[in-house]
Amino acid sequence: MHPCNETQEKIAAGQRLSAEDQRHAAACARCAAVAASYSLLDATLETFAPRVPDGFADGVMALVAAEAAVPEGGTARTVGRGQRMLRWFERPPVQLIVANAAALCAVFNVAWFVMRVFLADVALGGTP
Amino acid sequence: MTAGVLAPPEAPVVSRKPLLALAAGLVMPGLGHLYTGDAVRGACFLLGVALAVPIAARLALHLPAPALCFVLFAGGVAAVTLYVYSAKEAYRRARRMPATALRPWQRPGVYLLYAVGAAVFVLAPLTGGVRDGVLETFVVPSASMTPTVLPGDRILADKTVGRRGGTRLWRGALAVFISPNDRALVYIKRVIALPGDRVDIDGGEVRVNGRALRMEGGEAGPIAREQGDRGPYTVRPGTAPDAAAVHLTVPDGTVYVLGDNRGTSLDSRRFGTVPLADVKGVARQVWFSIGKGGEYGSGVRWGRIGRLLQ
Repeated sequence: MHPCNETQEKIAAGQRLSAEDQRHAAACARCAAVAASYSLLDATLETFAPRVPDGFADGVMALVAAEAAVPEGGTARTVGRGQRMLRWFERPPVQLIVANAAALCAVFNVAWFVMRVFLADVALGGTP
Repeated sequence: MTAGVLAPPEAPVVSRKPLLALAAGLVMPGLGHLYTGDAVRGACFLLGVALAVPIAARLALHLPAPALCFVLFAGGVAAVTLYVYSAKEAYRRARRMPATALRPWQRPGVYLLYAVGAAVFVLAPLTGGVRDGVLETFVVPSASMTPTVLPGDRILADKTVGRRGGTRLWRGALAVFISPNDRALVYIKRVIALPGDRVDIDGGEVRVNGRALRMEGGEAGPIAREQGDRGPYTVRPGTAPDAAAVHLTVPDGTVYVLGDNRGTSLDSRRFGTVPLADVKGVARQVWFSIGKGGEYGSGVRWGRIGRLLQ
């Protein structure tokens, strides 16, 4: 391989240059320019140091725990605290109670609001 | 460079439970859609359910009279169908939608507020408004209006009487009004004379503005026909034992009413004229009828359902 190519690949990969490569890079204008540009890039990236928010690790671990708790074959894409708080709803007796209560509400709404016009509150008076 | 990717989302990303969406949709129209995040569609369903009966009621008053109770019933069925469909659609939507970030208003408190607010500020005023100002049903317990109205009839009364653009009273109309003697009671009687009319009742003969109401020779029998402004109607002639002769001019703002069962009816011959302001409506149609035995039969009287009152 051409010494320039070999040297520039090592520079791009961030590998340590041998003494021979260092001498070549110092003597070769093209390789020196590549080395300079990568040095500049590294220095710039340093200014973008990642800032991890507080509690991020705990949050990730909670999500992992929630995912692990999904029953096998389950379809829930459980993420977050709200969803975990409603896990009780997965229990069949609770579902039955909620379904019946909702059906009762529906019957009440239909009778009280929708069909109320047919329900007479007033019985007409008059002679017996 | 990687901070944006690794940061947790601002709103929790959750999936919606289909059964909860269905239950919410049944608790209140549109609540299921609110739960799945589609508030606008939910509001449309709520309005649809709330407006179906009021629209049908107003429409029914402008259609041929026999259609009244059937159009009203169709409005009720449409409302119930929309109600069930909205709950079903919320279920299907929750089932198909991927986990998404919750909107700020997707909270239990908001759901509760919606359910209460929809009942109090949407459903109750709109459906209650029908009873107050369009159509209301009454149960008839007495025989004072036989043979036109039987005990056990459930009648639909047009409540637009006296309102702007509403129905105007006529001679022969079946008025539903507050009793002048006891304002807790509501009566149904036939309007015989309007303000300014001259009424003469002597024995069983009723004359309005000098013209006898009785048709076809005027022979007294178990059933007779009288002529009103909008056609003939049937009465059971008779005279209350203590009834005195009546000769009066109906004062302004009042009407003179008689029961069709003239021999037993408690009407204007006893309590005088009725203020127009106390007339709550005009009976239009029997929408259901059930007898409790005796002269008028027992059980559901299917033949009277939909019968026009005139």
